[in-house]
Amino acid sequence: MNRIDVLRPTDIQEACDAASDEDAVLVAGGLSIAPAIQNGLLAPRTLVLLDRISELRELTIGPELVRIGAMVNHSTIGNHPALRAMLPVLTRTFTAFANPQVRNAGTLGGNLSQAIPVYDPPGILTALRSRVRVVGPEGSREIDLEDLAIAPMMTSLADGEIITTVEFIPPSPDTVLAYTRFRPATHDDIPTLTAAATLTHRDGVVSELRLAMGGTGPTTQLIEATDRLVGLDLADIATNIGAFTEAVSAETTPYSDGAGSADYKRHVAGVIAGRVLRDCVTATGADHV
Amino acid sequence: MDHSEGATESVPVRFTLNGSTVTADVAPTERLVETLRTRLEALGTKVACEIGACGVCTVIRDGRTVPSCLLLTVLVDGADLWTVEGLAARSDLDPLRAALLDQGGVQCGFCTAGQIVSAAAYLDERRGEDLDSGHCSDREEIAERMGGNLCRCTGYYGILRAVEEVIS
Repeated sequence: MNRIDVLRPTDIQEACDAASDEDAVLVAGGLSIAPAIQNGLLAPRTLVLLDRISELRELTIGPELVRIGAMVNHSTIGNHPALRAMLPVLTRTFTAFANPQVRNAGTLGGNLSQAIPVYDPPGILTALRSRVRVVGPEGSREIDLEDLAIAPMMTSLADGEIITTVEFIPPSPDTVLAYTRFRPATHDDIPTLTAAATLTHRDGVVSELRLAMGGTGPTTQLIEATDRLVGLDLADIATNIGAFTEAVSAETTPYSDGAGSADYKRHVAGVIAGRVLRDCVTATGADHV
Repeated sequence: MDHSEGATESVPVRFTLNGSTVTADVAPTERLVETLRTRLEALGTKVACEIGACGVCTVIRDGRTVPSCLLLTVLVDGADLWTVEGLAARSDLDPLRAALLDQGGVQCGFCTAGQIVSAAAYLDERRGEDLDSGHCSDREEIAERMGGNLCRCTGYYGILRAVEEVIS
């Protein structure tokens, strides 16, 4: 008997208990579940719908903290006036990927829990040093977003654990955010590579640089080559970009697949890393790019 | 669509469709477009790509466009749904329909229902005022809001011009 139970908990603990069964599938926006079942990738015995848990829809935008509930839709994030005023690069991203229908129904938690590094949300939120709150039968814990995914479609979550919120501290006024995505013209709009960076500058000098890339390996990758640019004058970045992009390429380990060979992706990774770095420098208002 | 794989017990759902309450017993993994087309005789909503990319399956749930080819019907229990059939009765959409025809926004007609649903939802969102959408122009805003409805015939400009004509 192929019976599928549909549960609709109204609080998180109820959801965690239901989700502890390894044949249970958590349903957020549900957009990825129908195709997965159709293709035989998922064979749930229980569907646990999260749409009745109001605390998962929390959205707090403040100068000290931005906290986004796991069930908040991408379009709600992207169209939020206060968030746009604070981080227009972030909201522009959340109104650009996929299409309006998918952004209206898809959720941040659902997106992040698929652990697909080329999706737009994980890279840009990792650049912002986001933390993820996870609740399970044993209690709650917080992890850095870059530690959520361990491989495509695999997270570090245990059975019964649910992402409840994603949060970050808004960047200080001396920090800029830039994001770029690279994709060939495809109907599904899934990028081949993404690059998101936050650059902090003081007195015309780079004091911090964080670069998160998607598509360069099994998870969102925090690039270490940024170390060579910290301490440089913003005006000197341009002359150092060539060496930087080569260093980025060398650090990446992309897969060969239908979107491109590993060599191709390694090259493009360097190019878009340089691009996003230039965008950061432009955003600082410095004269030299 | 085969709803009878094993004895998958069906789930009762209840929602508002085009202003009327409807109930249906659906398979847990049934998608909304299947329910609309095979149980509720609402054939205006189409199926094509089945990955949420083309927009022919667009319906309005609680005021927002969503891809019914990807939504499990169990997820719309309690929701307020509108399909193209429900929009047909709205005379305030006559200018949109006329503009689509005048501007060359309709050829084979396959994408048209979805285009109208997305355009109507956008017009309702605006309600005659400028939106605080962050876009620098109406054209940019229209292109974004209509970006989930593909068309193989018209080259898009007729459709976008039609929406632009209505909001100006």
